[in-house]
Amino acid sequence: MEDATGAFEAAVWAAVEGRASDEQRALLEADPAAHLRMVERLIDDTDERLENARQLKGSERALVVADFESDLALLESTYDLMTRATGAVAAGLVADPAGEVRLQASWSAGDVVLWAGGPGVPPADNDELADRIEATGAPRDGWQAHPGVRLPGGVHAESVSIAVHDALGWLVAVGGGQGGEGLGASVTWLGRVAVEAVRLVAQGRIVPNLRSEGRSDSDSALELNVRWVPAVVDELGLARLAESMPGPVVALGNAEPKTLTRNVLAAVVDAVASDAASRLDLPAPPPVTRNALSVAEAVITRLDGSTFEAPVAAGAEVSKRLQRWTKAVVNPHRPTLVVELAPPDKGDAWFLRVLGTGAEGTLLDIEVALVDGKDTKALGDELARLERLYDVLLRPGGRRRGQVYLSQDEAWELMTITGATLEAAGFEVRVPPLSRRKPSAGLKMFTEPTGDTVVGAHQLSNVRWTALFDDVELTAAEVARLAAEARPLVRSHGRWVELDRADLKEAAAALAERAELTQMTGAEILRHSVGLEGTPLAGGLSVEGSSWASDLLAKASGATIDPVVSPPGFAGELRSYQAEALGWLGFLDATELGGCLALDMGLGKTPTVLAHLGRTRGDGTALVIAPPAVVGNWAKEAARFTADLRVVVHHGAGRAEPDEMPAAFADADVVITTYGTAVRDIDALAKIEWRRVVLDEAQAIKNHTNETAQQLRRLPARTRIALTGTPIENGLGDLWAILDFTNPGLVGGRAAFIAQLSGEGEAALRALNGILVFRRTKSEPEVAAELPDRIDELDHCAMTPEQIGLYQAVLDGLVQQTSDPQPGEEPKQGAILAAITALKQICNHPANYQDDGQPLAGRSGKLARLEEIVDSVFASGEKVLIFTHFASWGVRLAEHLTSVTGVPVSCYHGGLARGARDRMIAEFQEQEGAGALVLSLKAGGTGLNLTAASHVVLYDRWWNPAVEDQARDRAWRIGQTRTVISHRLVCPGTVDERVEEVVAGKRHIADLVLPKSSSLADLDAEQLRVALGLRTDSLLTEDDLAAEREGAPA
Amino acid sequence: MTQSKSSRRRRGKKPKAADLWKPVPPLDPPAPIRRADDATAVLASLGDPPLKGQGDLAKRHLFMVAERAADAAVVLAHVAGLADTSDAEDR
Repeated sequence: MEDATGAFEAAVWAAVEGRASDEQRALLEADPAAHLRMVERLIDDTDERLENARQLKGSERALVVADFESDLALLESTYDLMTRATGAVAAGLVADPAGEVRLQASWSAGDVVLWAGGPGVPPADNDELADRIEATGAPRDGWQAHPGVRLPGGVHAESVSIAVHDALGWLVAVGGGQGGEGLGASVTWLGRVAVEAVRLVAQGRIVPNLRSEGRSDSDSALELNVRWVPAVVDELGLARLAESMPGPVVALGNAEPKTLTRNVLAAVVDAVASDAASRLDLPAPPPVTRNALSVAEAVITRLDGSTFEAPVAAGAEVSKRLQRWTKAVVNPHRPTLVVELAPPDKGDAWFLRVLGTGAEGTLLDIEVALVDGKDTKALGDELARLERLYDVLLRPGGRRRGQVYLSQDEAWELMTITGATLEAAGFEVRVPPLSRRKPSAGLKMFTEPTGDTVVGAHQLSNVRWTALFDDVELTAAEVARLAAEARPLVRSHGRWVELDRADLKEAAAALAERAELTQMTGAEILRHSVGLEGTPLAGGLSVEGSSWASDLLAKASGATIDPVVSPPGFAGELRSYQAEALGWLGFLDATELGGCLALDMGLGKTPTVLAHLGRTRGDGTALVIAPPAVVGNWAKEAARFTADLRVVVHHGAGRAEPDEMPAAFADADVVITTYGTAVRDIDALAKIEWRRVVLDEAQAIKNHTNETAQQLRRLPARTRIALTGTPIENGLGDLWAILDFTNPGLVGGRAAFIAQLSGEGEAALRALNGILVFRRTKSEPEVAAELPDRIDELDHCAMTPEQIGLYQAVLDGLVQQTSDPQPGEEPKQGAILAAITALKQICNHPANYQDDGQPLAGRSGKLARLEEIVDSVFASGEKVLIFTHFASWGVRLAEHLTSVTGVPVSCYHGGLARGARDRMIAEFQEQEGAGALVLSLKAGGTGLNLTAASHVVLYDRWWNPAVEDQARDRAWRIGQTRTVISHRLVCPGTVDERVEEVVAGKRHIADLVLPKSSSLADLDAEQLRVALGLRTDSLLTEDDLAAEREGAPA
Repeated sequence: MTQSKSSRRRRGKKPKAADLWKPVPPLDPPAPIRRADDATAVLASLGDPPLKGQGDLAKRHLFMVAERAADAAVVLAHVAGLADTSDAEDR
């Protein structure tokens, strides 16, 4: 125990003397309370011994007393440090950490003295000091030896010094926080003061003084030099700097902190200004200075601070004059005048007055303060200074001194330029807040009812027009008045702004054009608001008031607020943009408007609409008309997301007859049909009042004159919704056709629509977005952020009669062959597999099975679907990869796509030379804009990097899903930055679909027909027919295809 | 411990470690430094310099130094990473 106490005491002594080892420090840090108690005990013990030593006699007394005094001083310092540090943390104070050596700076008559030390540790020697200085990025040159810094306890710190002008850049960098590690608070503080000095110089807050360096050798003359000193110093800021001055700064003297701070400021200001003066091309100084005249000449030629001699009297005279001249701005007790500008109540006269501090500390008009103030002389000096700088105050006609009315022009000048100059000169400027941002000009239409009993788009409203500059609304008369002013100022969002004269002119013209337009229908108002009647001003048109159109626009702006991602009746979660789209669909319902949901391909139009139908279940039946390829998908997604919806697929031979339809659809929430069927059954369907009609892939009606578009207009519905990812595939005419279907007559004529929205197609969509269109694209970052990396889509394709006939013939041949095998024929299983391949080729295209050299168009449902996909991809400026198992078919496909799209499409297959294949890949990757590449599954399915494509079409299916995955992964791989959409094309009711089931893992190849069958070869003829034959209940036929073809572009 | 801390401190005559290393209030980080559009405003506010016989030359030279020094100060502010380069639109 005694050993432990002894070790602890030894550790305390070691720490007090600054020689504690790491172990000893750890021992003390483990028990700070015991540490403090031990220091207290040692102080008492040492104190007692000192008292005793003083009683000694003899030669050793002085030595012993000195030893104890030294010990006691060290112990007391340690005690103070320990107890103060604890309180300091609580008070939010900062200090260099104990036990750590850091670079320190002391101030010594214009020099910075550097040494290294810290609380409770011995200072560093010269070598370590040099290393530390170098590590901080301090200058290499300019250092002088210094006698050293005496620290408490008689410790001596080795040091070096540098003149402040040699260390300026480093000091300021340190003050800006760029000095790195290992800097003591004293260095940082000096740097910080240097920064404030630089701030003064940057503001021009400097004045020259003439300082005497003493008498010359002959004693008959003074040695003089110009010193630049700080002016208009922020005394509060200076006091804060002084309060924060660390002890090491003053280790070489006893200067009071505020004085020392002032000295450092002055030294840095002089260093910067005299250096700047030395770089000017000033005239040569007079060779001799004999009188005040030549001293004055010497002053203006020696502004760099160089020393000159002058007779005592002449030198003193000029020095005093300069002192008197600058007194007002170097006076630390200088009163601050306030320049206050009040905006006009009306008219354009702005009242400006000068305020000074009165005797009781309150602000008074300067004329009053000059009589009642505390230091009227100083106030008068400041007012004179202000008037010199801002001579508007001297303009005759003012009621009192220090008061004047300013014009708009003068007021703006004060707010933007002169005010800052006055502030730099030390005056406080209070001006109304202003903005330099020019508000954009727009128009506002205010609508109010006429008393017309008609409602909706035909309702007539009174309208008034005003110009709108941000939140500032101006009538035509006000615009005219402002346009006539030299400086048209208005108050916008609480700030004064200057209006652009050109904008005012345009606004005046726009208002004049519409002066006679005082009544409009709802449809006209809506067309104006979305820019269909022109947008004369950059700020657009806003509509307010009370009318069908303004109510509708107000609802539209609130429709997508607080989107619901999990709507009732929907099993799943919508993405944010889908939830916003859902809000917009609700808005369409509420206003009984139609609209175009224009989400990019792959963004989930179907689930969004299903969520809407699920949420509104029970308020009427919706008719969904879709291409045959996606009818199955609609039914499947409805079952998945909105299982409560009663869905009827009205399609195929088994569909309801016209007279059966009312009953068949009576309980349905959703009836899904194809374009072909809808046109065929239009008479019956048009007799039903639909709550909503939804056209999927509405580009089918973009040709408004075709049969499909015309017939579908007959469908009565309260709301018509068009879905498309490419609403302006071939131009604004497409969009007009869609919008004119969804809202007949509302958007005006086709030619006017195209003319008004001409320019960038997407810009036109933005104008209509949220009202008649809801547009989101994959390129929007917030949309892309929510998308998965990959979207897989299954597209069902129709069979043409030619395909069906061929298919049946091949199947009949197979049945014949297998039921009556001839000697020497190939094994039954081989014949079946060969027939399956043939059937798959027929599903692809008759020409894939038997190339007759005839054109490909119109002979295959898959090809028609592929063309649709390629159209959409090209319309978006994207690229697509098309994989097929059959290389020769791939070549034909590429030729066909080249011919129908006009874009060169190549086919990558194993028959090409290596170099040709490499070039093909490189060209596809590097080519700008839309593109397509057909690849044989075998040659192109692996190893390639085709990230330029963001769409993949698997034209035919292969048994092994891994092969398809590999193909798709040519685009969906590292380096791909977009969502990859993969389309699989399948002909329902054919062998194609059964291959799909195999691929999907629902069956094995051998289980194509009978789950228990172990081999295809075991199947009899009938079973083969069942296995590979056409299933008419699910087969999509040419009728649908024909209707689709009609809607396709010519 | 028989004596109070203050009585002990009264006896100390040498520089104390506690004074050298005393904690101080922290300073806020320095604000960006902006150059005055007119760095001669303070000098101009004082009227003509009292340098007999120099006429306008005195004022012109003093103004030149103020402007050149303000330029140098901005360079130093850049060195310290403190130059205010923002284009204030509102005030």
